[in-house]
Amino acid sequence: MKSLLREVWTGFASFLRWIIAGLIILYLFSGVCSIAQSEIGIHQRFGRVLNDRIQPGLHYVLPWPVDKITKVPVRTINRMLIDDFYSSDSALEKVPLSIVFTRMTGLEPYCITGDNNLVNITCVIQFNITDPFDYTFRVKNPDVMLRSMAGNMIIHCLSKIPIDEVLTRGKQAVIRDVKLGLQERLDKAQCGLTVSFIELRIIKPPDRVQQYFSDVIKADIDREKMTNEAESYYNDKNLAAKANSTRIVQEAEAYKKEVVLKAEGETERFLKLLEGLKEKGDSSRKIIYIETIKNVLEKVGKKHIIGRSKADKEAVRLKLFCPE
Amino acid sequence: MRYLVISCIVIAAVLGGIYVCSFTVSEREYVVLTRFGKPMRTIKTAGFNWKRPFLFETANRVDRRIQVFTSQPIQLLLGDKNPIVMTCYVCWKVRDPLLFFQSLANPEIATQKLGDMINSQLGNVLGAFKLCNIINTNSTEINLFTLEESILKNVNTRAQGKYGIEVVQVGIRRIAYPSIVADAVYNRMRSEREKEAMKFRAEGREEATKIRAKADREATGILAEAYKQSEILKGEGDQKALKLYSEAYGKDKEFYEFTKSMEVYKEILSKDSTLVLSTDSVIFKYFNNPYGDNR
Repeated sequence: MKSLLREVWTGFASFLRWIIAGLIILYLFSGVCSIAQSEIGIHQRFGRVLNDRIQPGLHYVLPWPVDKITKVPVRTINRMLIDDFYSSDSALEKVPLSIVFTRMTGLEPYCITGDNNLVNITCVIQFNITDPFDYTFRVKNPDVMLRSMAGNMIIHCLSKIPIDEVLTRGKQAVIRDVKLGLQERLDKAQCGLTVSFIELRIIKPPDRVQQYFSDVIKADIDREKMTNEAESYYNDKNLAAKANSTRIVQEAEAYKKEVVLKAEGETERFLKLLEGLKEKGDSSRKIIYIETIKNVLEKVGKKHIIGRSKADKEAVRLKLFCPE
Repeated sequence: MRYLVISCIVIAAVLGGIYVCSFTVSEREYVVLTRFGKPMRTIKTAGFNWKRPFLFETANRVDRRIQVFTSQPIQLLLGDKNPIVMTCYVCWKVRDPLLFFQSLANPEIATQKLGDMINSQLGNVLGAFKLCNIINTNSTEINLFTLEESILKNVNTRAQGKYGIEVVQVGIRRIAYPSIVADAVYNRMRSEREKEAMKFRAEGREEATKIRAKADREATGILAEAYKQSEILKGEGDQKALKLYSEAYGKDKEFYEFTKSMEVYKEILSKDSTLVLSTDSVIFKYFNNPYGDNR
């Protein structure tokens, strides 16, 4: 009986030995860690940082509780939507701060521009971690910090620009200023973040006055349209006048030609007659005369011929009447 | 076998002893070591440290990282009596862990105290600012940075001495108008836009009228020019014709008159004309007399 117990115990002991050896090996192996391509590791021993730039790959450190590796995704580009100044039902659900501010004050979210207009704006910030040490050990909530500072810089930038510029050509300037100022603030707070890209998503007047802004754009188009219509009227009128003037001048040319040709013809004829007269003497004049009288008298409808001798010296009395 | 068990127990005891008698300080914290609640020393560098076990000494960890919070919205009057609602974000960190531990001990209370300080400072500082110092199209007159700086400075002098806190950055997080003022601003925006739209349309009309008037004027000009040219052309024609006629006329005045008269007779007498002739006429010279004389 006793020997059986002893046997069981030795069997258990040898088994336990293996278990302990296995546990120790497992424990030692727990110090192996791999760092992915997009990450950088920070190596701490008893809390103190030994190396804050462990490159990607397989590494061995002493197991817990001596050493600790913290992985920081430095090559990951993070995106953050800053929509604290944008009022829309769906956007409000996403932004805790806007909700807090709106709930606390009952005021709509907007930003104030330099000429005291209100504007809704959202922007997307892309950033990555450039200083893993600062990011991990010097800032408690870097995202909140980034969001706060971005909102602050938007307020700063818009406070000096009139709304027309914000809505149109000033966007690039706003982006540049926000990026510069934001980076400066982040550096000052040493939070290890670098802003790589800022994009203004929505810039628009608040819904309440949106229609009046659209109307201005429409008015601009109307202005264009009115001048265009006038231009086409001008073109029509001008072309018509030119056509008319060409016609008038052409008619005058024609008249000139006609008159001259007629005169040339008539004078030519006259000269020919004159020539004939000189050749044939007075007889041709008589021929012309008689020919003409014949033509005339043929044409005339009513002819009254009064015969009288040369001796009658009294005047002839005629009573003319129209036969209805 | 026995050695194994014994060594295991010894190792465990040693490790347990070490665990109880030591603590580690991370890079993200300070530690204030207290003995029965009384602060003994503060450890500012990260690493491994010894202490007395159990309740004899306690390691109190104080977060040394920069923390951010947003203050409560507060409505204030600016120097020119414009009401405005504001919130600020505050970045702060513990400067003096011992003082912080003794005065506030935890970040929630610190946030509350700092928020109150910020808001009271906002009230003090904003009195010196006008609306045009906060928003202005002329960027040189904007003093937002000065505003933030002076709040930072004022809060810092109080917080550092009293709570061991350093405020790293203060920035305006939101500026808004109270709803009545906002309504007025909306109305003003609306009327400004309406004015602008009206201006655009009036400009369009004016421009169109100008162009139309120009069109009419130029058309009249073109036609007048054409009329002038046509009259000149006609005159030239007439002149040339007249010259031709007068040349011909000069050749034989009397004969010209004769031929012209002949033509005129042909033209002026038509079918409807009534002609009264005497047989005395030259044409009837032989009417009464075959010899043409009064024989």
